[in-house]
Amino acid sequence: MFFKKEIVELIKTVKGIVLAIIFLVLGISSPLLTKLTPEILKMALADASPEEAQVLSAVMSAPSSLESYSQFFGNFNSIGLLVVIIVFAGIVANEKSKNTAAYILTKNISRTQFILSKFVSSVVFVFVSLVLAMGSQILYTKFLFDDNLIDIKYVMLYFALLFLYLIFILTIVLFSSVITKTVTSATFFAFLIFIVFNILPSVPKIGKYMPSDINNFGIITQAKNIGDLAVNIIIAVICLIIFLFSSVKIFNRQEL
Amino acid sequence: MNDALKLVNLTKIFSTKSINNNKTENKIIAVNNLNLTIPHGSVYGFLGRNGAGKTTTLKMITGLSKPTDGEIYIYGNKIEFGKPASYKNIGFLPDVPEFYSFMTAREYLFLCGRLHKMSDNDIKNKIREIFELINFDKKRLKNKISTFSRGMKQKLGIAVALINSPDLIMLDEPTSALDPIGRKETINIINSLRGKYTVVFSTHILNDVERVCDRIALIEKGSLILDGSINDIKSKYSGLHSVLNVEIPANNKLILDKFLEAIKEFDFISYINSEEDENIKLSFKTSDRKKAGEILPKMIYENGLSLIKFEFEDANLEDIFISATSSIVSQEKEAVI
Repeated sequence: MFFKKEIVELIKTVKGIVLAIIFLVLGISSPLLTKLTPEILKMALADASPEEAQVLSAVMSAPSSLESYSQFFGNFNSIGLLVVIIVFAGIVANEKSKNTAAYILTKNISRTQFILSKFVSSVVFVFVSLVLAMGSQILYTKFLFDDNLIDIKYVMLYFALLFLYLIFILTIVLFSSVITKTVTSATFFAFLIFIVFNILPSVPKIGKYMPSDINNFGIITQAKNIGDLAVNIIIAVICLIIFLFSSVKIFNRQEL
Repeated sequence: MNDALKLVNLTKIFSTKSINNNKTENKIIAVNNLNLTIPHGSVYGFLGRNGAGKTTTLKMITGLSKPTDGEIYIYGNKIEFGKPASYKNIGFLPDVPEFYSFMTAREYLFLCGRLHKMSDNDIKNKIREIFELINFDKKRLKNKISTFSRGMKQKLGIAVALINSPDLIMLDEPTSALDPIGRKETINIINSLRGKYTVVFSTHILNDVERVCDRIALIEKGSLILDGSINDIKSKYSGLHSVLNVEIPANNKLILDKFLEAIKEFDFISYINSEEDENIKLSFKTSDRKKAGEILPKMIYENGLSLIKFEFEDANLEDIFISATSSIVSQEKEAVI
């Protein structure tokens, strides 16, 4: 029942809609930009001197489906992940600061149910948004670049791993929202933990096993296979379970 | 039937770190060994000054705060922190109820009803019944809660508290944030709950208590200092701390001074003030109503004065509240000195 309220809230407060639209735009814009960037540059080169035109033409490669996915990968990592953190940072903290959590928890709902409803609803929304992004990315790329450079099987695998990575990010956001009292501090903590997990791969020896590596473009190009990321996947799953379990445990002890 | 609510040695201690020294832990005793029994069917006023521990007590009863020590029973069932099944027989209205503003009143009531595992049909019937009881305009059901005034939100909060037909309704300062009309409406609603529910109503507005409650508990610094029916408490306090009004003819100032001087030898009577118009009106405070009733008229006649009026003024709740809470504060000051 509370899960349904969460879904309705994400729709009515437009947060979920914004997330879905941004993901959809990322899926549409990446192949379009890849296709149109050389055209735009060509138009710009019309006014350039023959020497400049020669240099730029040499640098520019012909657009391909591979570049379209590379563009998506870049855009998603810079915009998509930030949007997920911003949209869901207040998921618990907002209810604590506004006292809506204290009120509803005097009804017949357990705190575990309260937290898990929020988590599952955020996962559902991220999944739907990711499907929109993936669908538009695959369809537009197929439509604009008929080069057969990419095996769709590996694209699907990449999106499956990206979904797992987003669930991991959601548990970080949930945890931050539980341990803080305001949306601002929850957003700050979520970014802090996210940055730490993005710095960890540069640590010698252990860095290569960190969860952030499961969001890996090498899967699409087949430079990496699922076996190479097995340890990262296991660590990501362990981390997300720890964050989720801690969120429930901490919230169960909190005074509201 | 069991007592509606029973608090046994209920204690809540908050730990705070000292600002000057992080290593020092300060302890604030918000609720101190509170024992209280609230009988079924009563409208119970839970009184205390701001910061006396009322809201902390209600939060422990409604499962929002974990007691440091002690036990809470609702109709014989023990309340356990974090286990909503143990406090599902309570309807709770916080001082400022915060609803999901994106919802309509109907959606919020249905959410609460469904959380209580009620069928949609039962929820509909219950809403109809409650709205008649609290005189809530049904047309507002489809309005977003964000458009409601404070008074409307308070009414909706009462409807939410009643949706699952609990036996015990807890209202935390339901009138303190309202204008006089909203206050009157809320008091009328509480009155209409009488006989159907046991109502515990925390407040520091004593007028409201006198209008609606039949029993009260007064807490100060987290401890219970008074508990019982309003009439019993008033008569007990009237015996201990009564105001006595005496009216005598305005004829002889010297005799009057002599009489007032003679009064000073009795420690259970103290002179408060006098007013003079046609007659002289004297006010005394006494801690022993019976003795004062015997001694004063006798002294008046012995001093050659005649008596026009002699009456005890009943203590009101405000006098009782001030007298009881200030005696605790002064005891604490003496202990510190």
